[in-house]
Amino acid sequence: FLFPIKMTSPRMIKLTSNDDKTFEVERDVIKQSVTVNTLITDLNMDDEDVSVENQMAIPLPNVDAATLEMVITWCKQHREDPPRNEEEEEKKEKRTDDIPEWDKTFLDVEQSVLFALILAANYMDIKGLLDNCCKTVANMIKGKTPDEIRKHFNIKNDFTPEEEEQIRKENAWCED
Amino acid sequence: SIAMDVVEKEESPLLLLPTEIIFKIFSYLDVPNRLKMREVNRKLRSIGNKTKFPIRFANRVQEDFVDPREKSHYFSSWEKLHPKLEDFFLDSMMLMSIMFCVGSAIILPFVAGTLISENVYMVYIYTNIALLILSIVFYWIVIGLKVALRRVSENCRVKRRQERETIRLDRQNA
Repeated sequence: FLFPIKMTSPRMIKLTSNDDKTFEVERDVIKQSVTVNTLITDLNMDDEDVSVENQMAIPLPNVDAATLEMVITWCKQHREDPPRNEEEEEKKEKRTDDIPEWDKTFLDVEQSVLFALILAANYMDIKGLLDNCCKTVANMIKGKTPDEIRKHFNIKNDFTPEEEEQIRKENAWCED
Repeated sequence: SIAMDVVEKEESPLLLLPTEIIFKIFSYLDVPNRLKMREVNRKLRSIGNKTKFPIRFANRVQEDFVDPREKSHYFSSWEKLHPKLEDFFLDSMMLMSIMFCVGSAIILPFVAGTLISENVYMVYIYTNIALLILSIVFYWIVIGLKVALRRVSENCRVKRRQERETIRLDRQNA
C-alpha cells in the first residue's frame, strides 16, 4: 500500500459467432488469428481507454459458436507458442507425424467438427490450427484404398468404368 | 432406406472444403496416396491433376508428386539410367582389377626372377602366391563396395516398392 501498483487486467476482445453468441477472449490469446489481429489493428481496438463493455464485438459470420469455442480453446493452449516463420515453414519437410499430443486428442472429433474447424481456421487465418487439422485429415487418408477413402469420407464414386480404367492407366507409372 | 438414400446423396464435407485447403491436404500426402486420391472422385481427380510440387532432389522423386506427363523424363533419366551407370562403373572396376592381377602375375615374377637370380623358381612361386592372395582380397573389396553402393541406392526405392505392392494387393482384393 506504500507503493500503489497499478494492476492491469489482460486486455479482452469480444468475438461474435454467426449464431449471435459473444465470447470474451484475451487479446494475447486471439492474436494467433491473423484476421482478428488485422481487424483489431485496423479498427483501432487496442485503445486502453475503451472498456470491454463499450467495446464493439468483432463479428465472425463464417464461424458458429461451438466451433469458435473450440478455436478459442486451441488458441489458449497455444498462446505461448513462438511466432511462426512462414518462409521456414514452407521449406520444412511436409510431415504428418509431428502433431503435438494435445492437438491429437483435441482433434480426435467427428468429421463434421473437424471440417468446421478447418474452415474456421482458414477464415480466421490461424496457420498452426489449419496445419494440424490438414495433417489429421491426411493421416485419415494414408494407408486406405480409394474405396476405403470413399467410405470414410462419404464420397460418391462418380466415375464411369472407362474413366476408372483410364485413371488406372495414368497411375500405372507409379506401379511399374 | 429413405434415410440411407439421403445420407448417400449428401455431399461429403471433404469435397465442400475450398480447393486451396484440399491442395494443402494433398501436400501432406506422398505420391501413391496422392494418386489414390485421384481415383476417388472426379473433383479430387481434377484437383490432383493440378497438384504439382517441386522436385526437391532426384533420389527423393518418389516422395514428390510428378505430373504423369513428366514421368518419362524423371523416371527414365534418373531411375533407369542410374543403375546402368552404377553397373558400368563397378563392372569396369572389377574388370580392371582382374586385368591388373593377371597382368601382374605374368610380368612381375619375371622381373623379380631377373633381379634375384639365385633361386628364380622359388621367387616366381612366392610372388605368384602373394599376387593370388592380393587379387582375392582386392576382388572381395570391390564386391563389398558394389554391395554397399547397391544397398544405398536400393534403400531409396524400397519404400516406393512396398507402397506399390500395397496398392497392387488392394486392387486384387477389390
